[in-house]
Amino acid sequence: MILFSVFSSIALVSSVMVIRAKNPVHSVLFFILVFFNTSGLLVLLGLDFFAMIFLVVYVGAIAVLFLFVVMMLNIKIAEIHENVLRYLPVGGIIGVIFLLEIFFIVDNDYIPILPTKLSTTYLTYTVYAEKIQSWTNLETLGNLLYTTYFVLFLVSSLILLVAMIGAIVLTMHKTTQVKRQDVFRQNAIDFKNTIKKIRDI
Amino acid sequence: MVATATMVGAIMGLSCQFYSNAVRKLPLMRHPWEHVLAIGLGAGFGNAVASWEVRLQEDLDKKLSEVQTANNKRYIGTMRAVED
Amino acid sequence: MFEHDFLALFPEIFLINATIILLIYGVVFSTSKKYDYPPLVCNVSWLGLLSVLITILLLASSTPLTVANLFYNNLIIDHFTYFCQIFLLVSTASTIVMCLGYFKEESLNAFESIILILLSTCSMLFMISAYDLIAMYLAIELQSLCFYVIAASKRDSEFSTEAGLKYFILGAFSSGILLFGCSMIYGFTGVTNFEELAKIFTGYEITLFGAQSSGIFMGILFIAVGFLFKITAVPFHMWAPDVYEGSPTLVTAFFSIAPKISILANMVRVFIYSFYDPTWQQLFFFCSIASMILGALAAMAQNKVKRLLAYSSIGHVGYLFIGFSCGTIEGIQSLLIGVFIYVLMTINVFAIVLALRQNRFKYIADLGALAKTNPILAITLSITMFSYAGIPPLAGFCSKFYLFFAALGCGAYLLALIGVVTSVISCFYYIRFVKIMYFDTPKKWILYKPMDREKSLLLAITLFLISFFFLYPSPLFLVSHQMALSLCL
Repeated sequence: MILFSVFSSIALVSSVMVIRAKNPVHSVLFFILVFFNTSGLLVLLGLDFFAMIFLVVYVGAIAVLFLFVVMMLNIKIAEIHENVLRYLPVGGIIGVIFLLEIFFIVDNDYIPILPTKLSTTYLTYTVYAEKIQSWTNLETLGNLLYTTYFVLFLVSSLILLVAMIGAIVLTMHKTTQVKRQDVFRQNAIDFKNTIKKIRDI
Repeated sequence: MVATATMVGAIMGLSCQFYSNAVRKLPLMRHPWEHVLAIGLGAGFGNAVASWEVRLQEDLDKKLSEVQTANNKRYIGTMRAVED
Repeated sequence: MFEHDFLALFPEIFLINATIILLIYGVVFSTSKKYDYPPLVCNVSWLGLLSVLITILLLASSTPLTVANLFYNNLIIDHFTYFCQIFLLVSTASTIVMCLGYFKEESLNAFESIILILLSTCSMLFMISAYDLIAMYLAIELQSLCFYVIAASKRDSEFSTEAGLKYFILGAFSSGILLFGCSMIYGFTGVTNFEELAKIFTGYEITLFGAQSSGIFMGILFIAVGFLFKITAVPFHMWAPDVYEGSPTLVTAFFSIAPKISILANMVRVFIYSFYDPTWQQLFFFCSIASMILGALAAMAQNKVKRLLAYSSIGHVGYLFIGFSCGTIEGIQSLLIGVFIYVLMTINVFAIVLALRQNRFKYIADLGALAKTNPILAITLSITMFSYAGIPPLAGFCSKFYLFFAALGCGAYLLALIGVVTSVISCFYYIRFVKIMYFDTPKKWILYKPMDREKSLLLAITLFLISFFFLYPSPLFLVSHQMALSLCL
């Protein structure tokens, strides 16, 4: 219980600091802290594989991507904290709506606004995950993802293909004026033929 | 019924081709073989749509009667399916 | 385990394979020095058109498997998906036909646009037949991702980049909200399949036997909000006019036509089949009324063509939602008829916009004196505008009439009333087109170049369908009745 409170409170605080930090590099570092705490929460839930994959994919790929972007953009530190307060009303409202919505559902007897009638006799929720103790997370995932749900897997691979095509379409310059090195041609030059003697001076 | 559909389809195909020439400001009978093609396609299309509609109507009637029988079967109190 | 399922999925498999082969062909040959770096746009687009037509053929003749539940309940094929998929492929084929001339004029040499259009068509086919929340989300993501890229594909125009960026940010945000709703539903019910959700939600509003939970309500609400973002309904329409205006015109045409069909089909399946009506009906009533009002009022102040078309499509989505939020079989039927006629009219309008594009047709005032230079095109555009406005006896009137009829039939009198009032208000800016064409003199010389043959044929077909629809509407009514029945049973 203590671990849950620690991880979740640090995650919440660092996610607020991502928005509020003045230096964009500090933002990205708080972002990485959010992911670390979230994977800690996942370990607490018993999902070991997902926690490790969170670290590898989110921190290793996505946060590094953010860092690259921050590095390439020329953000001057001084001009950031001028107009943060302009976005406070709308952003605040949206944040409060999300937060209140969590409270509506979790603590429904304190804020009984939405109609909730819990009838415990009709629909019960069976936690199947408690009953099976022999397979690891990785085994379960592999057993299902590539056999029963492989269509979803293939569609996600198409999404990755689109991402690749998109990056190339939007950024590659294929005009003839762009000077590019053609390594194979460079290696295939025959030096004896490149310089010839035409006549004496 | 099918004959009128075929004829209407042919006329529509011909008028499509006329329109396409006219909107590009070409003389109406430019490329006259395309008119023949359009007439043929239009006629075939009209034929297909007419027969498809007949088939659809039959399918729909069959489905509605199936639904009616299934609904009547669920009527609490009768032991057999009542076909209305 | 799944051998028979591949048979049913054959059209999609063909389209994916064709896309990948075209991609390899384009990449290998357009960078080869031996052929002197040919720009392969026209080749790839004709071949793409051919592959879409072959997919239609495969789909239409797959008679042994008309109703199937595939891939461990992830995908479903029944009459509803069958006709929706054929319709989607036909409209994609018409869009590709429209863009063949566009590539030559704009010298947009990136053949990847066609590849992305084909991939998004694939994903829309998956979306229509999705039967599981995860499959639906993946298909929506794939389609949106393709669209983000082609919206920003015109690299030398700032407008296009801005449009792509706006679309990307708002699209990612709405996908996030959609996924949040899906995970709430999964967390509170434990299932993601639509059929299982339908079984769970059967007793949802009957509080005597069922359990009502606020988490499920929140989940449905978030899913609804995510979908409303994607279909540019009010109050989530903010990105639509800017994106429609900034993207290249071909992309705008594709936006207005194809995703509406697939997302509406998916919404119908999710909201009417899985989540029964009373939960979300109020929200959709409100969105429909607001979309109609905004579409009618905001378009009056526009000077640019594409923004006006964007607002008119927002208004039209409002009308379509009337049929959707009724929840009755007539409602769904009127929605399907409305979608068909909307797509016809949109193809017509965008074919004309693309045909006049060579003359920098950006402002409405550029249309001036079209009646004298090309009277047939002027008549076409006026007939289409009258159809948008809902003037009898054109097709738009039939669709609007049936939508209002369905609304009155289920007791939503306010919807029908506001629909009629906003129809009349929106007549103003549609008829303004006609007035500018016939009665205005332009300020500078405008020269019109003739359009190519494909667009003129497409214009001919859609024009005749719009104007003579009222004589023979029964196939469409029968088809939509069958589709609505197969959805609800």
